Amino acid sequence: MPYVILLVINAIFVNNFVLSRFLGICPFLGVSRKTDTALGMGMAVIFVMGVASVITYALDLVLVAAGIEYLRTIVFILVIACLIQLVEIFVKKFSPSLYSALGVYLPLITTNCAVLGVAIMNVTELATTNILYAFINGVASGVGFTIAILILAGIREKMELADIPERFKGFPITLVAASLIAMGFAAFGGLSF
Amino acid sequence: MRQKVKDTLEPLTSGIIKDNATFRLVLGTCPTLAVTTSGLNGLYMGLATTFVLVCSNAIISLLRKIIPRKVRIPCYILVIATFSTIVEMVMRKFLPAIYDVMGLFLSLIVVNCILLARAESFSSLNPVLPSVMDGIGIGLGFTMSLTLMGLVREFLGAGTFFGLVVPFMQNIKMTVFILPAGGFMVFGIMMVLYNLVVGEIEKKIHDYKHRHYHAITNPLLKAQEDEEQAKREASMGGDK
Amino acid sequence: MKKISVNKDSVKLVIILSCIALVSSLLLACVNLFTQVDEEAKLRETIGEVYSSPLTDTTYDMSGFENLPKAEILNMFKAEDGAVVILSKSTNCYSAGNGISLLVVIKGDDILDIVSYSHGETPGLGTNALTDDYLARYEALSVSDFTIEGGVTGASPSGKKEVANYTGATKSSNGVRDAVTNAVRAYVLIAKEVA
Repeated sequence: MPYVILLVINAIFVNNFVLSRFLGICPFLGVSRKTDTALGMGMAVIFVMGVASVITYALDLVLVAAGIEYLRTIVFILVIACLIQLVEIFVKKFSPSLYSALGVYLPLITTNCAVLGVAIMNVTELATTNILYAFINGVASGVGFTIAILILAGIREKMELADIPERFKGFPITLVAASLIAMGFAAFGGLSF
Repeated sequence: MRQKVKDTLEPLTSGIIKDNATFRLVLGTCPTLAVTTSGLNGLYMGLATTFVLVCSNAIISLLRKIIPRKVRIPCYILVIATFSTIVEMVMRKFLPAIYDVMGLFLSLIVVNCILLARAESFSSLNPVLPSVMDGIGIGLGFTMSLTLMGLVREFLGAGTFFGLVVPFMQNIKMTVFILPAGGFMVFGIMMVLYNLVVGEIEKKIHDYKHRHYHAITNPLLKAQEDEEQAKREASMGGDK
Repeated sequence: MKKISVNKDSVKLVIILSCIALVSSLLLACVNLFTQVDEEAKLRETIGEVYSSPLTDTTYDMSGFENLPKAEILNMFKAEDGAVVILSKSTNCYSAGNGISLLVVIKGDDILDIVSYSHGETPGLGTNALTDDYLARYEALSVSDFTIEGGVTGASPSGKKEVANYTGATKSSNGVRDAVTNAVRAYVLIAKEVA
């Protein structure tokens, strides 16, 4: 049980996917204009990461058993791309309200490196692995992403009203804000475990 | 002939400066921030991406008439993933030290948005030669900006230049610049500086061309040129 | 009629997609043949440079061993003079790279040598915790200075010797600590049992 707690705290705070590992920066910068869209994106990422972690972990067992680990990247990315299509179809059919909330963001997640990143990390970096830990790691990493993107979206909403130098408008000031958030998260690195 | 050469070289030059992937199009931000802790790392990452970009651009442009529109994205991803895995395997064999530093991000070249964006917007619409040129241009632009960012972060954060110790920086180095927070900061500020400097230069060149044009244009020449222009347009219209 | 033509289309889609997939996996298989790295041979060669006594072919069964949270034992060898050489990895580090791998040589109850085998650390930051000087601080310890059972954190209990973190390279110092502690645990729980 303590290992699970460590795993969760590590994925959310110490090695936050966005602010410390630099995964999923594109949606982090691109979809963080408003808090509610950021939340929608975050929810979609948590969902896809959780499901993708389980499926890719199971597939990797097959790949390793067959001795063709070198096909890992190509298999994982195809599975993730197909998975996102499937999820889109299912959600559209069974929960139209959820679809209207997530729909726009689902296709965007295909090129979100955080999903492929967590899939590869589950099989290469976790010391004690089983399919449950992989799932927990996936979901927790998604939560870390959501927290980061929500904080940034909150700041950006306030920044709309601020008087920013012309050249800094848009991406540059967002990056500087992200830098300050990352400085805050860097403090979690001191947690000694 | 000259026009043809110019057309071929155009994607190459515009990819490096005008459509710089990192600072202008803001694509491929993950590796830009993650591996630029030193100039050399940035250089290697840029070159690896360039290789994948050129190869996948060439193949996708070759297959552009065969690939069905409906499944184009999975096809592109397959091609890109193949080449990025090849780069990963070659690096592991011949450059193990660099492979250890890049780690995860070498596999993640697949989901670099630059590759899919170029496949979708350029190489799936153009013949092989311009696609390769576009790949080289965008790739070199990416390499240049990664190396530049790596050098700045390395210089400020570790007090070294391509791994060589810079004496006077050793006492005033600020470690924060090679931490994630510094990465975001340097990226933001360099984006402003890049747009400032390159924007000014582009404006100067534009002004110069404009002035130059008027200086040499006397009415007779102007009439001649108008005629040529009309002819050219007519012939282009005929092609269609 | 319409239905058949739709089927034909989708068949074509599937065929093209599988063709591309087939070609790429064949290509990858070819490249893999040429670039395969014999990790164990490379590792044995490096150990030969680090430690003079030749290695035996003894293998250890690691299946029952529970690693520390961010550490992993990649390989364990027995030298002819009774020392055990452990390749221990930790993913606790600054870079996005492949973590820190250390070679830990333990004989009797003493840590004889610790060498950085491979790492993806940021120069000027994480590498500070991987210098010979810093690693030498662990070489002064003996096996009894580590917690073997109990808490997953592997932190030394009060009263035992502890190595301070390198200021400014907290994560990498933690990584080195995890890797060494895990190696010692593997030594005590597995290598000693076999002997």
